[in-house]
Amino acid sequence: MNYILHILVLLEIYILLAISANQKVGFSGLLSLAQAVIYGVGAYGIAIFSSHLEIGYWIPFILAIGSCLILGLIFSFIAGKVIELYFSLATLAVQIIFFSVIYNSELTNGSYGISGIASPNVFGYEINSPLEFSIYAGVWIMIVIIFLKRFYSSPLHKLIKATKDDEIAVLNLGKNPKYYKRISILISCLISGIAGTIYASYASYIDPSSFTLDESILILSIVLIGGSGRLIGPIVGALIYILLPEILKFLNIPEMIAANMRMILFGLILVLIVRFRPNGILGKKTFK
Amino acid sequence: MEIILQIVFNSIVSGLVLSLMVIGFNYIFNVTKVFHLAHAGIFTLGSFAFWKFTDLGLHWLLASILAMSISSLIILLIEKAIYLPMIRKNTDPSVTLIASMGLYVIIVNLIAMFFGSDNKIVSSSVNILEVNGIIISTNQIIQLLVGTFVVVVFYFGIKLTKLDISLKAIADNDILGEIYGVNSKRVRSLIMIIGSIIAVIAGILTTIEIGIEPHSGMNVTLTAATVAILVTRLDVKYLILVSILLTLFQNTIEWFLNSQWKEGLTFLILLMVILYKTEGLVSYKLRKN
Amino acid sequence: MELISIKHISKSFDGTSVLKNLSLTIDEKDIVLLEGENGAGKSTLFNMITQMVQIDNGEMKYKGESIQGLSPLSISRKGIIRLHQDPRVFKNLNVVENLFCAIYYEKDISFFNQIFRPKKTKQLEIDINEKAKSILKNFKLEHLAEHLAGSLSYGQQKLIAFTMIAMTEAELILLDEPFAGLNPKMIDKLVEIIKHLNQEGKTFVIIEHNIKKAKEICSKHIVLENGVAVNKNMESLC
Repeated sequence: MNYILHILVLLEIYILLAISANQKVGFSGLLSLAQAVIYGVGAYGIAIFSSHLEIGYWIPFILAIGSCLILGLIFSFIAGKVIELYFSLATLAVQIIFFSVIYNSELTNGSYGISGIASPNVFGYEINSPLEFSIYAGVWIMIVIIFLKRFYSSPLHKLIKATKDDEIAVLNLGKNPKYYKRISILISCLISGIAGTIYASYASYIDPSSFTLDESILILSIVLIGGSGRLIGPIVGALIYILLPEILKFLNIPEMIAANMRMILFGLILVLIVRFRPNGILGKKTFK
Repeated sequence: MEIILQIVFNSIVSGLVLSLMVIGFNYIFNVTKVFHLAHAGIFTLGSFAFWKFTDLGLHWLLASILAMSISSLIILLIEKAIYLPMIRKNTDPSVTLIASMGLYVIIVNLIAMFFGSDNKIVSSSVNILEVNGIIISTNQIIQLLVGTFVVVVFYFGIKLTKLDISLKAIADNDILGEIYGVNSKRVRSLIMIIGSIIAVIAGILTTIEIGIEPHSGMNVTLTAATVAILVTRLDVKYLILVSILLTLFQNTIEWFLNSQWKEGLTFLILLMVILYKTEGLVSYKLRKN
Repeated sequence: MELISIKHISKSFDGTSVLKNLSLTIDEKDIVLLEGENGAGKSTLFNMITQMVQIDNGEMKYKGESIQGLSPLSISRKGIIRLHQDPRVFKNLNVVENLFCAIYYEKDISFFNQIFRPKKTKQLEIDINEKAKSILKNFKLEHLAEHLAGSLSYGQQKLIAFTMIAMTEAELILLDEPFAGLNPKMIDKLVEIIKHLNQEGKTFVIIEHNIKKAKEICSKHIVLENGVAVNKNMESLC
C-alpha cells in the first residue's frame, strides 16, 4: 500500500512538472531543455534555505520559489533576445551549467547531495508519511488547477496563445510579445518550483543525479507525448512516464536496464512525434 | 615558462582533435540546417564500435574502417528517415534540434544497455618523449599526425572535387542551388557522412587516449557547437584556430583555477555567444536585406 | 493637421539607392494612394515609418515629434499600424478571439484582476466580445465568428486582419495591397469599411496596384518614381 502511495506522490510531482512544461512549450512554443533546472532550483532551494535558516518551512519555501522566479526572469530575457533555435540552445547551456554548479559547488554538497531536508509544517502538523505527502501534493495540484482554470480563460492567456501564433502581428496591434512570453515562463517556473519543493521534502534527500539533461529531455517528452492540450495532455503524459518503469519492473527487467529502456522509449516516441507531427508543437504552421 | 609551453602544446593537440568535431558539426549545421546534436551519438557509437572490434582482436585499421562504415550507415539512415523529411516540411530548426536530441538519447542509451556505462579504453603501450622540456606522449603524436592528415585531406578534398562550392551554395540557399544544378539531397547526405567519419576519427583518437563512456560525446559536441556558433562560416582554417584557442582557454582555466569549473565555464561562453552573437537575435526590425 | 511629415529622406540597401531626397506630408483624415513601380520604394517607405528599417538620412515626424530610432513597438503604440500584404491573423484562435486580441489593451485590466477578480474580468470580456460581434455584424462577417482563423480562406483572413486593425486605437493605418487576392464583392466591403473608419477620424496610406478601385476612396495621390515623390496632391486624379 505504501508503495502505491509512493508512486502516487511521484505521479503528482510529475503532473505538476508536466503542466508547468506545457505552459512554456504548449502555450508559448518555447522549447526549453532546462525544465529540470527550475525543478532543481526549487528542490535545492528548499533544501539549502531550510537548513541554513532556522525559521520553519514556509519562509524557505517562499525563498525557493522566489529563486525559481528569478531564474524565470533570466529565461524571459533569453526568450526575448533570441529566436527559437537559439532559445532551445541557450536553455541547453543553462541546463549544463546548472548541473556543473550543483555537482561541484560546496553549497550544494556536490555529488554527495543534501540529506535531512525539512518537511512541510501545516498549522503545526508535520507532513511525513507517503499518505500525508500524497494528500499534500494533491492539495497543491488542486490549487494549481484552480489557478490555471482562471488563467486559461483570461484575456491575457488569449494573447499568450496569439504570441505563439504570430509575434509580429501582436506587436503590430500595439502589444509587447515579450511580456506575454514572460508571464508564461514565470507561471511555468512557479509550478515547477512547487514541484521541486515537494520532491525535496518527500525524498528528504536530493543529489544532482535527479536534475540532469536526461531529466529535462524526459520532461519535454512528457509534454510532447501527452499532447499539448490544456490539462489532460500533461496528466496523460505524466501517467505514462510514471507507469512505464513499473510495467518494466513487472516484466522483471533489471533496474539499470530499465532506466536505459525508459530513455530509449521516450527518445523514440519523441523522435517519432517530432518527425511526423512537427507542426503540432510550435503550432505555427498548423494551417498551411 | 615550461608549463606555459606544455599547456600550449597540449592545447594544439587537443584543439586539433576538437576541430575534427567542429568541422563536421559546422558544415553539417550550415549545409543541412539541422543542429545535429546527435553528432555526439555518432562520436560515441564510432568509439564504442572501434573499442569492441579491437576487443574482439581485430587490427586497429580494420576496426576503424568498420566503425566508420557502421556510423556512415546509421547517419545515412537518420538523414533519409528523419532529417530530410523534416527539412522538406519546413520544420523550425528548434524542432529538428529536439529530434536530434531524441536520436542522441536513443543511441547513447542503446550503447549503455549493451556495453555498460563504465569507461572503455583501448590499451596500448604509451611512450613518453621529452622535447625541449615539453612532454609528448605517443598518443599525442598519433593525434597530431592523424588530425593534421584528416584536416588537410578534407580541406583539399572538397576544393579539388569542387564540393566546397556546392556546400556553400546549399548553405546559402538550397532551392537556388538546385536551380543551378546542385543536387541538394546528394550534397546533404555526403556532408553528413563525411562529417560523421571525421567525428568517428576524433572519437577513436580520444578513445585511445582517455577512453570512452556513453556520455563523453555530448560534452565534446557542445564544445564543438560553441566554436561553430562563434565562427559560423564554412572556413576550415578559422574553425581550427578557434578550436585551439578555446581549448587553450579551457586548459588555462583548468591549470590555474579548478578543473571542476572548466565545463561550466565553457558552457557559460556558449551561453554568452548565443545571446550576443547577432545571428540568432530577435529583432523586430528587418535585417539588412 | 499634419500627421506625418517626411523631409529629405534617403535610403540605400547595399549601395543601391532606393529612396533619394523624398519629402511628403500626410494630413489627418487623408486617404493617400501610394503608387509606383515594383522596387520604387513603397514598401520601404512603410518599413521606415514603422521603424522596421532605419532611415539613412532625413527627418520623419509624427504629430510634430520625431519618430526616428523608435522601436516598432513604440510606433504601434503611438497609433501607427500596418496591414501586411499577406494576412496576419492568429491561426489557432477563432475570429472573435482574434478581434478580442486587437481590442483588448493591458491597461484595461491588470494581471491580478484577471486571476483574482473573475467578475470584473468577466464583465470586461463580455464588453469586448459584444463589441467584436457587433463589428462583425456591421461588416456582415458574423457568420465567421466561431471559425478558427486558420481555417478561413485567404480573402476572409484578409478581411479579418483588416477588421482587427480597425479595432485598435490606431490613427494612421498603412495598408499594403489590401485588395490583392480579394474578389470584387470583398473589395467593395473593404472600401466601405475604409470609408466608415475614415469618417471616424482614421488616416490611411494605401499601396495598391488596383488603381481604379483605390481612386474611389483616395483623397491624395503620391507616386514614387526613382526614389522621389512625384505628382503630389493631384486632386484631379481622384
